[in-house]
Amino acid sequence: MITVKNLVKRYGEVLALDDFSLEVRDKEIFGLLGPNGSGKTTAINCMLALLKYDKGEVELFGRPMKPSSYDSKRKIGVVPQEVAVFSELTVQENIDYFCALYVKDKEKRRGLVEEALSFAGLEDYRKFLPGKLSGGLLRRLNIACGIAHKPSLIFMDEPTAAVDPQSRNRILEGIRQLAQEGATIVYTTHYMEEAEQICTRIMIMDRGKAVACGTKEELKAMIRAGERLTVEAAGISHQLLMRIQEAEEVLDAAYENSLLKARCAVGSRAFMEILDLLRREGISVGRVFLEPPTLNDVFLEITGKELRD
Amino acid sequence: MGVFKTCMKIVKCHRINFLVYLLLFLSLCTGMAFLTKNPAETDFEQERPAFAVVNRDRETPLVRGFETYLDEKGTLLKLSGQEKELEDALFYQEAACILLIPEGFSDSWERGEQIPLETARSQDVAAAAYLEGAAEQYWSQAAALRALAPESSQEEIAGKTLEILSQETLVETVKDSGPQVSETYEAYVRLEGYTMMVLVILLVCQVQLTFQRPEIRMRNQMSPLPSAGFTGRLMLHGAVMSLGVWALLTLMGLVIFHGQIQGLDPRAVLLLAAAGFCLMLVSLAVAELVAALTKNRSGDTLDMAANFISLGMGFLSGIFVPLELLGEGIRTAAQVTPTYWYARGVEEIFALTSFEQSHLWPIFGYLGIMAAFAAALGAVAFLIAKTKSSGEESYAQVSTERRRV
Repeated sequence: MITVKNLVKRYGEVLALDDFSLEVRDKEIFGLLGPNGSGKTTAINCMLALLKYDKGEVELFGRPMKPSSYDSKRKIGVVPQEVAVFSELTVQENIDYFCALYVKDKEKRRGLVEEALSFAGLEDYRKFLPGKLSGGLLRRLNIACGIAHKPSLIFMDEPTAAVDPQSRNRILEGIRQLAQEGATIVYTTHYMEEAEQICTRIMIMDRGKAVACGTKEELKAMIRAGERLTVEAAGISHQLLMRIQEAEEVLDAAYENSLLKARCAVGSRAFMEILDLLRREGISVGRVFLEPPTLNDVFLEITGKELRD
Repeated sequence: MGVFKTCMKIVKCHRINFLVYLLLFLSLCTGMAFLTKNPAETDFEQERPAFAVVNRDRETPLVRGFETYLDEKGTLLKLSGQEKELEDALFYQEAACILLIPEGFSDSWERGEQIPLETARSQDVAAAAYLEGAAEQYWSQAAALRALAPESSQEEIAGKTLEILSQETLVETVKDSGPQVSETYEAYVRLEGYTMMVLVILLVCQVQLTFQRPEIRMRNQMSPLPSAGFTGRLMLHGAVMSLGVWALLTLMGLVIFHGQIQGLDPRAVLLLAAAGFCLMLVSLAVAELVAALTKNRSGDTLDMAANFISLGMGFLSGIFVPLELLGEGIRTAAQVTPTYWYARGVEEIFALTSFEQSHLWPIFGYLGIMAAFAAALGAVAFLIAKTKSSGEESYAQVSTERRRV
């Protein structure tokens, strides 16, 4: 569906995309995950031929993507990061306007607008001007305007930015529904939970480079870190902490505010050994949490920094 | 909903702003029309100033004829001739003047000589001069008749003189198509220039700037409709709006001032409409230029820009103040503004007394200059828009760079 090869984009001295390549398959939700400024939006804009790039190739639907690729554009839907609607038009008129750019038939369009309104849960707000909508509803309108014409390839640039949890869940649910209906979705976000929740495959980006790509399981398998152990325990001495840190297959351990946190290697049983050690030393143990590794751990291990830095 | 319909919706949404300008203009014009509804009275009545004739000579037919003639011009007071009474009559302005026939007047007249009458004036100098003129007229006419027929008696000369002086010519005031037809309509047409420019700039820019919003542009660029399609539709909308403003203002003028422009030659009305049309083209080009140069799409900024341009051009080029009242330097500088040529054109059209080619050429010249201004400004606007568009590449560059900042 999308093939990008060795894309290079510079803004003056700044290298925004550095030999960036990707392959998006048909009907998948492909996530571009990375911190702000990592090049996600630039990558999307280059793919859509909205930006000229210095080097590389972009193919959509098996054909090079150019500003004049109107046949390809007809099959693409875009949901920009900033809400792109007319403040002078009502919710329904906005959806109708953007849909009319693709669908000329009025009758057909009427049906599509109704579907988009229902998809975004905006039926009751159809006569509202955007200025009267809440942030979450505005985001939903933004999405409805991008998907009303039933595109087979949808680009969504951080569609849940600054949205309340309720609206976010609704939006994520909608994206899943679009994929089930057969659309291919390229989804950028800096929220790892979202990427984990809905993406078929994820590409992690940092400083214009693709640092890792795969399913979330594949990504997590790329790193040494396994489960993260958190234990409520009082009175752990410095010497005892040193012994835990030096234990085999314990990657790191820290003790603060009566909480012992330790990361263990993949597939190890080191956490059992830690709990045994605490018991042997007479430390009373409270609640114990064992969390699987997150994409943040993946990002941390690959780039040496937190995803939200 | 198509692009054109969306443009109309945007205009509808901002209609209050446009209506305020239109209403202000309309009130001003209605006020002007009302003030000139009853034009100054052009009929007049003959004044009959009071006067007295003091005859210190003998009574003759010529003197009686003189008194009869003057009695037609004014109101003859009967005074005794005592000095105190005469002084009081003048002081209290009971008489505008007193004409004294000196002793020996008739004898000297019979000899062919003429002793001048003695006159005393009150403060009403104009009335006194009028009566003195009438007296002079009588005696001059009598002298001319005596010269023509020396054998005629005084009675005959007096009778003939009164007969000649009683002849009148009827004078009728008629209207012509000159500038006196309606100064108010001329003021309206001048002011129409300013209103048209403000309205066209607001109408066109509001829509253009809405479509220039980076996010909207991105969505539009990603649609299968080519950029030329959007530009074409926006230009069509601008042209329709401008034509609408021109037609509305022209019709308003014809309706409000229909009574005052009945005497105006229809060809002059057509020329005025043509001048308005040329200014509409200029306004459209200016609006495109403002849209190409403006980044901020807020209503206040747009209002400010529209008024700054329209008022500035209006003051500089004689829309508000007649050109002849402006200094030489300002008039020279004003020639680089299209509105100057509009004001000149309007002035010439109202001053037209003939529609021969030689009279019309200068007007066509002014209209041509306005059309040239429109073409030049439109071309500059197009170039700026194109340069901006290729410089920014697209929404994406603006958006990405904004985020980086």
